[in-house]
Amino acid sequence: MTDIPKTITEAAALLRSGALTSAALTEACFAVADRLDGELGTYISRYDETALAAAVLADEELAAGIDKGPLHGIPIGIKDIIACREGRTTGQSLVFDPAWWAGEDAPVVERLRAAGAVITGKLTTMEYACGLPDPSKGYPTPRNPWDTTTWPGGSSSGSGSGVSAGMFLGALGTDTGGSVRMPAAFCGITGMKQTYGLVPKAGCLPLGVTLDHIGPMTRSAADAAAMLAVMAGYDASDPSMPPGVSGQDYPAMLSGDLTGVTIGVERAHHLGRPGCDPALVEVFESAVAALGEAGATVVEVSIPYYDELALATMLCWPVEAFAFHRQWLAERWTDYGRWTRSVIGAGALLTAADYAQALKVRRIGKAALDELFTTVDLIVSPTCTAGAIGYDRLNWDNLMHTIFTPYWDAVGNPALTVPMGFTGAGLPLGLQIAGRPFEDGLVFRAGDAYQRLTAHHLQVPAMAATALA
Amino acid sequence: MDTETTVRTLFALAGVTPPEEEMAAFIAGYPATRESLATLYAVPDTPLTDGILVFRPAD
Repeated sequence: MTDIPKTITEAAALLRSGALTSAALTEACFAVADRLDGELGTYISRYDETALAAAVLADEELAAGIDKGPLHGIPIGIKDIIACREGRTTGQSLVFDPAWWAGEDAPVVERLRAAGAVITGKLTTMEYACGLPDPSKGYPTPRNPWDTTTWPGGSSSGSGSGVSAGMFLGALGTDTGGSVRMPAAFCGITGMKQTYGLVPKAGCLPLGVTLDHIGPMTRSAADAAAMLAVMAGYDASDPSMPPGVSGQDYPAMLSGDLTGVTIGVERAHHLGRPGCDPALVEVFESAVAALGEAGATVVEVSIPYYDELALATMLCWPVEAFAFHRQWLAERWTDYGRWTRSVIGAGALLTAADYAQALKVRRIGKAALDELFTTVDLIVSPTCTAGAIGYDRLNWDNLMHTIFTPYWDAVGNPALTVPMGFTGAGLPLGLQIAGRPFEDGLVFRAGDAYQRLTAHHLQVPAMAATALA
Repeated sequence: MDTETTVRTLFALAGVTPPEEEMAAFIAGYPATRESLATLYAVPDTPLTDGILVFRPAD
């Protein structure tokens, strides 16, 4: 069987050297899915036939000297709240409109496809990108390849587990309160929530419209940079995008050198919280030391309005989601999963004044954060308090006490998670790197520099190790 | 207005009727929600601040 390269970067080189074909790579990825998906619950729909046809076409194009860039011929999975022309978008819900974007690609998928990506299928999500698993609804229950008694995180669950297990080399997730970064951290991969408004969200089922981001999930920061370079840029279909906004050549910005970069280390709101894993402090401090080794100047900071902004995120999106789901909730309450209807239903209990106040607090918090960013270029913290949550203790309260991600959705700044080590139980821990709005390239540069000095991102779960080169 | 009446009224205004056992959970959790909201109203300088909806490079 064909060994699967661990990264897009490595696969792209092999495809161009002739040592690997996209067809063989895609078949190998599907073979991993054949073997592991029954246990991991990664896919909702697979597009074997169209994916293999796209892979063959990519091989023909590359052989003819037509090179569409680093994603050409690379297997990519799509979270099942984002429209793909091959099949319906379910949101992993019994309550969905089969005609919604039927037969069409979301702009972001269209961009990946135009760059030669091989779309392998649709991936499990928490229902409508929120809540927790409800097995009674008949969809797969996602599991973490590092320990299948644990949750892979969510809501981009299949995106996290599939990249980690080698079922594809990259995936699209979405992040409203941490749904890219938390599953990436739990699954030991890299995930990027780029600046709000940088990637078009049309064709993606909304959760919280002022907070939603479609982001890349990959094994390395360099791979995520390659994906975002394709995904980013203005599209008139998304009114939240600043007119004329464009992405950058993020891969070209990766130097491995952080000389001249000042990194603020955020310990005040992150370390010592209830539920922090015993290994967290040592693993985090080791990561900070590595950033210094890469040339960065490291200083201590305390981010402003931490609790208020995290709360604002978790209050805004249920209100925005309730507005979207109200009619269906009125008619089909029990068809929603029990966690989904609980958290979205709570949006009905906030007043318009509450929502407006949360928006004002976001504005004030963002201004204070902008001021802090005049003294530092990046801010780092752990992504979560601990490794993946076991299914035996998975509930909403535990989840809310585990994640350090919602703050960055409230302000819209870019935030990347990269693997930084493991708990004593062998579960991955994530390092969160945040930057100024539209300085996503510097965030990638720091993540990549860290990964050039460490190998945590190249560790693979034992159950997947035999398939991965 | 007491908590139970408030929660039932808000759901009625929204046009949604959760089953009774779930309504009980919403009622039980409502005071904590209001308490957390107080921290947002305690943030200074909010009355004259515009809510943020669009993020631009110049912000």
